[in-house]
Amino acid sequence: MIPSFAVVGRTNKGKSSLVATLIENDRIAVAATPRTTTYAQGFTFKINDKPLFTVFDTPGFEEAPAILEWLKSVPVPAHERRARVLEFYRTFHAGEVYRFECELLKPILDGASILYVADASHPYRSNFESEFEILQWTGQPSIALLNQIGEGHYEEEWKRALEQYFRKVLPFNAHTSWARDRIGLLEELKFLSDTMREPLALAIAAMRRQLNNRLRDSALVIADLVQDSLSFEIKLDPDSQWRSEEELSRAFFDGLRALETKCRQHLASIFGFHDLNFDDSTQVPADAEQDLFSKDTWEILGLSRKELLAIGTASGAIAGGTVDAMVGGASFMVGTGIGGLIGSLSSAYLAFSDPEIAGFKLGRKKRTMGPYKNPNFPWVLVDRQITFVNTLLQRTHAQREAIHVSEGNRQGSTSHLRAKDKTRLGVIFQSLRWNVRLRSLNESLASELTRLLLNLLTPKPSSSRQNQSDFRPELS
Amino acid sequence: MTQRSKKTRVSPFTMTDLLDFEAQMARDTLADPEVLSTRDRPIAPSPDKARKIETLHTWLLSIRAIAADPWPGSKIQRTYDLMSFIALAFGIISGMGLIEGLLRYDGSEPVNVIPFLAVYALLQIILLLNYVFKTFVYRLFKRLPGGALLYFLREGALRWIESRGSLLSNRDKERPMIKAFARRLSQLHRPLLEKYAWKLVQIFGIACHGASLLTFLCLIFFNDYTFGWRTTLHVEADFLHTVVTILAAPFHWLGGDTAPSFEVIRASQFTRFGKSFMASGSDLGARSTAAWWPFLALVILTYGLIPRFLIWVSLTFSIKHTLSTLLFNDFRSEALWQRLTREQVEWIPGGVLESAPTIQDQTLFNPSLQKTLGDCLVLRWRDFPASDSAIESYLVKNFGLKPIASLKSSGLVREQDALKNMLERHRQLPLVVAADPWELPGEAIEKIRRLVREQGSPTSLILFAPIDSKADALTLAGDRTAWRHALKAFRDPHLGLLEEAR
Ligand SMILES: Nc1nc2c(ncn2[C@@H]2O[C@H](COP(=O)(O)OP(=O)(O)O)[C@@H](O)[C@H]2O)c(=O)[nH]1
Ligand SMILES: [Mg+2]
Repeated sequence: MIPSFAVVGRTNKGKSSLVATLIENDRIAVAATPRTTTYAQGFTFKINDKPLFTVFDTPGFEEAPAILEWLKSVPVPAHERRARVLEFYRTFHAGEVYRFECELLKPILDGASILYVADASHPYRSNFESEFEILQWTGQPSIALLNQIGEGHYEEEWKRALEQYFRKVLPFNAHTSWARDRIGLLEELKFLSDTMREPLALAIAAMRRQLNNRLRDSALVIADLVQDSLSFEIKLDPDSQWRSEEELSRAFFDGLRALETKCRQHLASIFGFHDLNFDDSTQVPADAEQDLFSKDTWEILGLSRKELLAIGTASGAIAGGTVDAMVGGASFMVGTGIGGLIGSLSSAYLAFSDPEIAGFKLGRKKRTMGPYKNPNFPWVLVDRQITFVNTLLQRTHAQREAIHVSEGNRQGSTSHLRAKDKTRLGVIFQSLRWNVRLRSLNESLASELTRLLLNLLTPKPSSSRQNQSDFRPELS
Repeated sequence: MTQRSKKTRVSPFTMTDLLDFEAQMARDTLADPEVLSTRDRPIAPSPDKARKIETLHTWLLSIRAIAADPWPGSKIQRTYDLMSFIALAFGIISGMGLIEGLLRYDGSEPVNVIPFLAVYALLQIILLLNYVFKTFVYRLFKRLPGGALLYFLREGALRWIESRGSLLSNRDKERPMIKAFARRLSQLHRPLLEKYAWKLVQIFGIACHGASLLTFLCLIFFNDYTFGWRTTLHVEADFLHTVVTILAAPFHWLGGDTAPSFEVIRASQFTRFGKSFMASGSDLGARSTAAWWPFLALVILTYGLIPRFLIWVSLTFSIKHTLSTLLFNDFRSEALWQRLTREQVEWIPGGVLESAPTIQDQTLFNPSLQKTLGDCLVLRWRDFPASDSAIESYLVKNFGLKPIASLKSSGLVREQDALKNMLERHRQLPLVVAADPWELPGEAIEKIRRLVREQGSPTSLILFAPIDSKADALTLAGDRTAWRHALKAFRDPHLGLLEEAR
């Protein structure tokens, strides 16, 4: 038998939310009405199919006072209390009455430790004590967690009450607990009983590795997006349905947006968000804050024009050198010079233009549109995805409202890079554009992105730590 | 361990496999990662003894066995074979044509060996040098000319592939995959593609020179040729002799008449004006004009056929070698490798997940007894803290209701008698349940509801008042949506929120 925990408490205090957050599953039903969860649902943590421990989501207590009344209807000495609870279970588990409480008690009577969830946003009431007492009667090790559903703050009175019955009382907010807090919770659970220690230590280590792996996987996905977007073009059928150039360019940009959306779904699924609700910004292009091509986005993210110019020249020259090599040196170093020139000229022209209107040419003869030439484009694209990943890191699987990726007023991650790294990334972007082959181009882009993403886990210097949303979960 | 395994390893990847592998990689770029991991899960080997190339190959075989999409590998391979055949045929035709053109002989003028040497020696040497430099020196300096043909072959092949979405998928909307496929080929396997392109060129070369040689020998055998040399430039016989000696150096060891002697060369110089050999009259001239042919045949063999053949062989081996030393270290393959070997960290649900309940609106609260509002009963639910008088003033003030009896309840069995009593005395009066806003009604309330319906009346109202008791005065609780939803679950048209019965 592997160790297990049962998450219990009054209905609607966030038990399912806590479980969803802890096990990173956004498919667990969470609702503002009682009786969303109707039976004890176990989730087993496995590494390579080896089960380590189980967490049970349970239906909540609803009739604890009446049950305690039943339990106490005969005198029960302390050493027989557990047996008395078992008797309660045997008496009622087959029937309709107290059905949910029986479901709740089942895993505990089977040996699960207790995670009691209370909502500290409303005042303490003594009727909760019947729940504490019933749990106490089972004799299982227990810990209490203070969730925060509403606005009120009654942590102190709750803590004083809970500490009478539970070994430890910890705050754990199902909606704001990120990787670090989850792991912190498991660290605490290690001390509940001796059997927990080893499996939980293994699980914690695996979760840390998993987080890193997820960021690596994200880097691959983002690298794909950058490649696809930089070479994205649309071809026109001769009898095309697009009449005006405006319509055509809308179709083009929508294509790019679609690539990004696809990438984001991919990223979300890496982090275990399968039912993520994206607010559909493509439907309301006017609602610009979240749109890839809004001016706001471009003002904040990516690099400054000056930087783009500098990098355009440098990366143009290096990539130009590669063009020399590719055409077999027929250009004998001319490529290097021209590359630099083209790099700086095109960035100069494009860096100052509007993201929506400039940056690509309509090839009249070929009837294709794209690729998008704006030099800031890959930078903005990367910044946006990194922000998105950061948003995912700060979202729990209990949250069900649409995800809102706000750039805020912060600059993107790429602008914080060192100049050398910027140039390197610039070269990669330029090479992707010109489709020249650098040695293992793929890896270099992916590893640059991995580095950027892993940065998300290290807390940033104090300057930008003014508000909550700037918090980054840290892991050692 | 890796050292030894490297030596003994025979790569299982053929070009067909590699193409299929890349095709699948391209297809997977569009797929949901969850789907991919469930798909690849059963294929995954145990990570400790896994070796990357073998693992990836095994994976490919398993995927190929289950996926219904078309696989481009064999198709492209067949196209390549067809191209090789065309190159072969074209080579034969052009070889024959070339030699016939060069050996055009109407009996009046001898066959000039200068263009022959230009085509079969000089040009070949230039091409060979180019190839050697392109493949070897290129690696050192990367800046040497050449490869334009290669470039067009390679790019042409990629364009062809790109234009053929059906290679990868039967569905139209997945056509973009073909782009990803072409891009992967061009980015990851360019050297390999170039080797294939070169091989095609060599096949053409072998066919061309082979056909030339055979045709040459046939023509020599069936005709009586006179060879001479002439050029507009002022070239002395001893210069040509030097050239011929150098050209003959590789096959000099054969001895005999492999190269024409200085006398023969001098004797076979031909002047247009006199329509005669320079050394005409001498007996040597007439005999020696034919003596060129072994030299010419050996030139074709040495500078045409053999090098082409050697290059072809070396390319064949080199392709094998490249295939066997594939690293699969691009990021997609790496992701796959990770997927196959990385530890699986997951939470497995013990059963089917419950879905959030849908709220049924069929039984709407229908307070049809509005007129009877006036007197009421009050149930102070669980530890609702306000006093009876506070509740009374709240109800009177806000709802015009006057409580005439009040009870505390926590849903205990022993409280039921008192409740029954109260209900029996006031059958038709509405029962107001005053509760803390977070005490959403559940089964305990359901028990009370049944009691009301049995002891009181089936149609008397049960009204809920979620009340905020934080402030000095009681106020209506803020958000009551959850309450509305919770109350609907009772499916009782005479049960609802107090505010809605007003
Ligand atoms: N704001 C906020 N809401 C929460 C939190 N935890 C739970 N909730 C909400 O509380 C309600 C009940 O949650 P649920 O997990 O279904 O409770 P359960 O009945 O104990 O399983 C849902 O509407 C949740 O969205 C939290 O930490 N913050
Ligand atoms: Mg629940």
